[in-house]
Amino acid sequence: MSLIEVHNVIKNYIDGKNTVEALRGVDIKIETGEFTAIAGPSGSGKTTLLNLIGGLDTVTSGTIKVDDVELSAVSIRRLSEMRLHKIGFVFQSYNLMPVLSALENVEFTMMLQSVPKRERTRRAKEILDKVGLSEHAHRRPPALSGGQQQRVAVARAIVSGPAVVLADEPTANLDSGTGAKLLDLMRTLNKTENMTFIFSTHDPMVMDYATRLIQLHDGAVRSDEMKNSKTAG
Amino acid sequence: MTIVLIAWRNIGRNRRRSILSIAAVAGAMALLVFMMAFQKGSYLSMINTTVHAHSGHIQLQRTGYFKDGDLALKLDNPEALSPILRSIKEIVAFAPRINAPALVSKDAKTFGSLIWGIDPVAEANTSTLTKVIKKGKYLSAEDKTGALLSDLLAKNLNADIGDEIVFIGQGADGSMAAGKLFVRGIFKFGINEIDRVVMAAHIETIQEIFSLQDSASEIAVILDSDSARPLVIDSLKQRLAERSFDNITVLGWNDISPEIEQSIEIDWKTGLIMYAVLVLVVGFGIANTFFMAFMERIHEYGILLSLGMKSLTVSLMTYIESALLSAIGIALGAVVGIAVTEYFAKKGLTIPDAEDLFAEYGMDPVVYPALSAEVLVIATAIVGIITAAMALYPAWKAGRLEPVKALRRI
Amino acid sequence: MLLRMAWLNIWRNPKRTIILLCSIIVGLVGIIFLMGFIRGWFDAMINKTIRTYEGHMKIMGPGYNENPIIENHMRVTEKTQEWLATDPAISASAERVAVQGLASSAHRSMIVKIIGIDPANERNVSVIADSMRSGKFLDPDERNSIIIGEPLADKLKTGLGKRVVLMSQQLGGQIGSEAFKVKGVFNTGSTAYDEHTVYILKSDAQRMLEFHNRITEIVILLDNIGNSDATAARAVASLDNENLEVLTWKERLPFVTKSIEMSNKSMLFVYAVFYLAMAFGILNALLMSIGERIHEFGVMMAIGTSRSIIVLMILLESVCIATIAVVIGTALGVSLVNFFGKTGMDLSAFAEAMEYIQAENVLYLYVTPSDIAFATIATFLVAILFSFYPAMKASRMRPVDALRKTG
Repeated sequence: MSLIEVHNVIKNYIDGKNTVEALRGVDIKIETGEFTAIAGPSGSGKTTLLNLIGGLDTVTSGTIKVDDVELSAVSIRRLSEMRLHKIGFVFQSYNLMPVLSALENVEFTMMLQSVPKRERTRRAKEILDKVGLSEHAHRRPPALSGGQQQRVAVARAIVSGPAVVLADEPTANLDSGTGAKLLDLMRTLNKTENMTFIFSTHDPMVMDYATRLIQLHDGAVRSDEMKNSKTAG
Repeated sequence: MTIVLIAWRNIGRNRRRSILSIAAVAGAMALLVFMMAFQKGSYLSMINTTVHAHSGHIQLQRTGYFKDGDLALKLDNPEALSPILRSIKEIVAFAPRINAPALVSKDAKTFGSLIWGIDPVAEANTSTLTKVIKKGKYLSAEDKTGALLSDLLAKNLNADIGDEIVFIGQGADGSMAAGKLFVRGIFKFGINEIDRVVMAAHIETIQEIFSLQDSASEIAVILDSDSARPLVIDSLKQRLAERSFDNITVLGWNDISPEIEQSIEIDWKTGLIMYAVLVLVVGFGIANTFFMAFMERIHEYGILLSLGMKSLTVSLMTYIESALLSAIGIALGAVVGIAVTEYFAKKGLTIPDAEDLFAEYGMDPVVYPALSAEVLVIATAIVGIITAAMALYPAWKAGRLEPVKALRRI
Repeated sequence: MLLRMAWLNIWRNPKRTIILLCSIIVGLVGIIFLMGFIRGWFDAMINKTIRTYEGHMKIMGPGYNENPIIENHMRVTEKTQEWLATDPAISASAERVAVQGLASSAHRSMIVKIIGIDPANERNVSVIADSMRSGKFLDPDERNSIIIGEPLADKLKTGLGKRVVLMSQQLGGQIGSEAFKVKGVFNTGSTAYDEHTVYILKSDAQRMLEFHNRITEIVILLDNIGNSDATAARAVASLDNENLEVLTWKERLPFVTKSIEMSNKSMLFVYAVFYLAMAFGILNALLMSIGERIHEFGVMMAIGTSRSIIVLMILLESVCIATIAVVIGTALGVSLVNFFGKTGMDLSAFAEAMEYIQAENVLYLYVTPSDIAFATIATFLVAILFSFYPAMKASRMRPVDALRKTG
C-alpha cells in the first residue's frame, strides 16, 4: 500500500456546452517521504490532479486513495476532516486569512482541531521559528512580503503533521531568489521530518528540487522519473 | 445616451445584486402605496360614517347657531333655500331638522333628551336613520304623532313600540313646550352620544310645539362625493349672497366635527414620518449596493478617465446607474402596490379583531383602500428622494477619482 | 478566535459596515421612538380621563356601569368604608352622586351630568378643583351652589352669581328640581366634558333626588395605575356579599383598552416591516462581503474548516454588527424618547383631535425595559435569521469552485 494511490482517474469539466477532458486516465502511486513535482504547461491538468488528491474536487471516474481512504467514498464532512488532519495545502497566493496575524494563521488549523490555546500558541511559535519567521509572528499578511506569506502558509500546512502537503504552484508569484528559499525550506522539512510533498509547477528551477518528476501533458502522464534533487542550501 | 446605455448594461452585470436592490425599492414602494391607500380608505369610511349618520357633508345654519346651539337662532323659511340647493348638481339630498333639548318621560321615568324634528321623507334620503331601525318602523310621511327612540333611551325609559312618551322643554320664544308622542320605532346608530339621548319626531310637530313655525335649526346636505365639498361650499355661499340670504352660515362636516379632520391629519402625518424612516432604513441597505457597484468599477473608471472622459460624466454615469435601479424599483413597486390595492379596493379589507369595537362605535370594520394620485405622488417622492440622496455619495466619489490611482485598483 | 476573526472581518470594508449600521440604527431608533410614542399617546389618553373623572377604579351599584340611572344606586356600608381605609394601594377615594338631568338658565336648557361631591374628598381624586377658570370650588357649608363647565356657561349664557335650575328624576320617579347659584366656572380642557357637566354638593344632590344617604359610585385613586387589577381583585374579595360592582379603568374605558390592544397588534406589523427593511440591508451587505471573500472561504475549506465553522463565523459577523447597532441604536432611541419624556411632545396643533380622544395635548414618551428587550432580541433574531442564507450559500460552495475565484 502506497501513501497515495491514483488509479485510472478521469476528470471532465462541463464548460458551457463543451466537455473539457482535464484528466484522461491517470495512474500514480506516491510513497511517504517523496518530494514530487508535477510539471506541465498550463492546462495540462496539474491543478486538477492536486485538487482531486486533496479532496477538493471529485473524480469523474477512477479512484484516489489517501492513506488507504478512498476519497470518493467518504462524506463531505469526513473529507473536511481528512483535509484538516491528513493533508496540508499551500496555494499560489492569497493563501492566508488577511485578518489574522502570521501566528494566528498557523494557530487557526489547530483551533479547528480543538488543540488547547496554550498548546497551539506554543506549537505555532515553534513552527514559525522553523520557517524563520518568529520575528514577524504578529504581523498580518498585508504587512508581509510574498515569500514570507508563503512561509506562513507552509507553516500552517505542516503544523498538524499531515501525511502529505499539496502545494499548487507555490512559487509562481515569487521572484526566483525567494522561490528558491521557499523550496529549500520545503525540502529541508521533507528530509528532516520525512514529510511528503507534492507540488505542481511549470518552472524548471522548481523541478530541479524534486526527487521525482511527473510530467503531465493534455491530462495524461507523459513521463514519471525518479531523479537526484538539488539539495537544500 | 451612451452613458445611459452603459449604466443600463452595468446593472445587468451583477444580476443578483441588482435584483435584490430593485426588489427592496419595489417592496418599500408597494408597501407605501398600499399602506397610504389603506389609510386614505379608512379616513373615507370614517368620514362616511360621520356624514351619513347625522351631520351630512354640509350644513346650512343660522349664523351663530353652531356656537350657541340656541333654538331661537333658526333658519326661517327653509323651503326658500330649496331652489338654490336643487340647482347644484353635486347635491344628492338635503333635509331640514330641528334639534330641541327636552325632558322625556314615560310613566314615572324621566330623562334628558335631544329631540330631532325631521322630515321623514327628506331624512330618509339624507341620513342612515331609516337603516338603523332595530325594532318597529320608521316614521311615515304624515305621521305627526309618532316618535323614534334611540335604544338606550328606550331602555332607560322602559319604553317599547306603541308606548306613550311625554316631553317637556322650552320653546324658541322661551315658553313652555310640552307634548306627547307614541313610539313607532327604536333605532341604534352605535354612536353613544346619539343612542343615549335622541328621540326623533315629525318636524312639523316639533315646529309647532317649540314655537318654530316654518323654520329649522339646520339643513343637512349630502353630496355625491366628499371631494366636491369645498367647491359646493363656495358656490352655495356665492348663490346665497346673490339672493341676499343674510345670516346663513355654510358649514362642512369638518367644521362640525373638526376633531375627525384633525385625527385624520395626525394619523396621516405620523404615518408619513414613519414611512420616511422606513424608507431610510431600506435606503441605507441600497446605498451599500450603489457603493459596491461603484467600488468594483474603479479600475474601469480609471480607463475611461484616461481615455479622456470627463470626471463629471463618470459621476453622471454612476448616478444614472443608481437612478435606474431606483426608477425600476419604484415603477415595479407602484405596479404591485396598485394591483394589491385595487384588489382590496374591490374586495374590502376586514380589520381583524376589530368588528366588535368598530360596530360598537358605528364604524365599518371593512376598509376599502382608496388609491389616489396624491398617494402615488407622495410614495414616489419619499422613495425617490431618499434613494436619490443615497446615490449621491458614490457619484460624488466617482467624480473625484484620479485616473492613475484608479487604474492601480483592480 | 472565530469571534475575533468575525469582528475583524466586518471592518475590512468599514464604509459598507457603517452604511449597514446606519440602516439598522435608524430602524432601531424609529422602532424605539414609535414604542415610546405609542406609550406616551395612550398614557395621555388614559391619564386625562382618569384624572378628570374616572379614577383608577370605581365601585358602583349593580347595573350602574352599563346604565347610569338613579335606580342602579348603591349604599356605603361600614365594610366598604373599612376596606377603603385599609387597602394599601388606595391613595384616595370619594363618594359621588352622578345622574343625568336638565340644567336651565333664563335663556335655555341643556342636558347635563349632575355630579354631587364632597369637596374635600373630590380634591384628592380628581383635578376638577384645580381646573377652576373663575370663581371658587364648592364649599361644604354653602348649600345650593353649583360649579359649571365654561362652554356650558357660555351656552346657558350664565355666569358667576347667576341662577341655574337643575331638574332630574327622583328615586321615586317624580321630577326633582332646585335652583342653584353659580359659584365657579371650570375648564378641564375637554369641551365635550365641560359642556355637559355640573358639580353640586353631594348633600344637595341627595336631597334633590330624595336619595337620602345613597350614592351612585365611589371613585378610587391608586398609588400606581399598575395596581388596578390586583386592587380590584382584593375589592371583590373583601366586598363579596355587598352586591356591588368593582370596575377598573380598563373596564370603564373599553374603547381605550380596545384601542390599545388593537394598536399594539397593528404596531407589531409595523415593527415587522421595519425589521424586514433592516434584514434586507443585512442580507445585501453580507452577500456582498461573502462574494468578495469566496477565494478565502475556499482556502479555509481546503485546510479543513468544516461547513459549520464557516456558517458560525458568518453568523458571528452578523451578530457583531447587530451588537454595535443595538448598543448605539438603543442609546440614541432611548435618549430621544427620554428627551420627549422630559420636555414633552406638544401636539396642541391638533388640540381638537386630542380633546376628542380625551387626551392631553402634551405627550410624555417613555419606554419600558420590556420594550427595549423586545427591540434588542428582535434585532439579533433578524440578524441571525437573515445571515443564514448567505452563510449557507458560502458553506455550500465546492472548495474547487471557491478557490478558482480570484480574491
